[in-house]
Amino acid sequence: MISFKRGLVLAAVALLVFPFSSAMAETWRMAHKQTAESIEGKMFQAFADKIGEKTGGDITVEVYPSEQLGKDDAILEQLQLGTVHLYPEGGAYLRKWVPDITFMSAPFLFQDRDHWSRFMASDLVAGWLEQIEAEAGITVIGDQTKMVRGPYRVMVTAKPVAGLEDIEGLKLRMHPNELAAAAWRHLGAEVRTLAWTDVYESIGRGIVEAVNSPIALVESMRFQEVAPNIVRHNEYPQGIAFMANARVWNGLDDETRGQILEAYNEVASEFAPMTAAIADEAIARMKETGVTYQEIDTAPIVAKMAEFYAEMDGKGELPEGFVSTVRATQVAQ
Amino acid sequence: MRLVQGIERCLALAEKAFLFIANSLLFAMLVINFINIASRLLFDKAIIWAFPLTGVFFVWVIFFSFFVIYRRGQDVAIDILTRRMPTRLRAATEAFVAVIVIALMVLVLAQAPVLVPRQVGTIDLIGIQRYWLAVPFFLSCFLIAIEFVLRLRGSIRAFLDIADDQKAVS
Repeated sequence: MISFKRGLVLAAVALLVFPFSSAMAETWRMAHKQTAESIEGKMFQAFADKIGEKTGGDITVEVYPSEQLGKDDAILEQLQLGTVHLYPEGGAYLRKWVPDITFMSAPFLFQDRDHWSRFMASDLVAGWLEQIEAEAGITVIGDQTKMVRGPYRVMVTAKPVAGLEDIEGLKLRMHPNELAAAAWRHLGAEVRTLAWTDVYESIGRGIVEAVNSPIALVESMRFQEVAPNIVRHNEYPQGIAFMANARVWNGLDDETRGQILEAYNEVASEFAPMTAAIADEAIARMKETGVTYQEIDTAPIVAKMAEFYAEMDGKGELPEGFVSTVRATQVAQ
Repeated sequence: MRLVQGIERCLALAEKAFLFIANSLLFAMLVINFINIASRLLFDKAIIWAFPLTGVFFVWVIFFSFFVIYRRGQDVAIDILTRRMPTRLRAATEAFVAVIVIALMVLVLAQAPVLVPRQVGTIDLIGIQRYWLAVPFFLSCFLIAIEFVLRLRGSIRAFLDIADDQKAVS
């Protein structure tokens, strides 16, 4: 019979050796760059709260908004090390490991969001993500096309743009991205690379005349004050990829992973219409100040871009299987 | 002694080379941006790679200057207390500071094999791998560590010489 003293010692040893069994609470850190008050900031907080709720408190997620834990590259490194567990951002940030992933945001290639969703669910994209997981130890959880960003892309211009013909010679601000720059140059724009925070001043000084942006960011950046024409062109659909440390994610049991994905889907469904409503409200407010908003016919742009992609394909500059996957997912519509 | 003099000569050469590179990069940044502005003004055409290349050069200017600044003692140093210390204690403090700097540089360099493989991915419109940004930083750290090893040696010698002098006087 085990004596009382020996029992106490065994209990103490058990507590020391197994302090964090799967049944006990874990704390995850989620870092992001949006403000806590923005729609995305609220969405990320809602996801964090819901994870706690769905897992019955087994996993608590602490949210660090506004780049409190560092900028993109620093967070990706922390994600690899496991000091940050979740990082919601555009999936294109993963291109440092698999450059082909840039083509997830190919301008004027996808017919609509549904086409893009089907493409993102293809084996080709799954292969890219598997390669990233193997090389970087980062995985993307859930369906990133459900977490809506934008919800669509617009061009904010100092002079009216009614269609493809007005893009010719337009001085357009671009982020340093080869594909985007080449695409817009093909459309005739005079592309100029500038920092995002320099755009307002640069439009005011005439260095650039236009900038592409998700509609949700136009008002907060006050671009409409210097470029009072907003043109919806749906350059490419955008979603938010929840990047996670693969070791931590794969270490969870199926039930917990299921609970987290359930939380993900619920938050995505809840916030998609909210994001659209907020964009509509912002447009209404901006219109009251004299801003014009129009949705242009993008068919001529898409047709011209088809030449661009055909040319790239001819030179072998597109990822293997890309064109066939785009076509296959298009046909399914 | 000859080894120390050799190392000192190498450090002096590296200082000159790094200063020249940093100045050249700064000059290149000015030229590229001047041409970009002139091109926009005169021909309505911008140089698309001017902005990202300026960013890369800016990082390199700082990292190459890092060693030069420490070598020349142009970094921010608070010496209000050490200047009032007795000579022997001052030598001991300088040796202690040198040990801390060497330890810090060794710590940074020890992280290089972990950090460099993570800094992958081509910098858009420039075409170089991202880890090239940090290479001058690690070079500077290595040279600063060597520089402070020499300073440590000097401080220890000063400390011992003062001790001998004090013994001789007493």
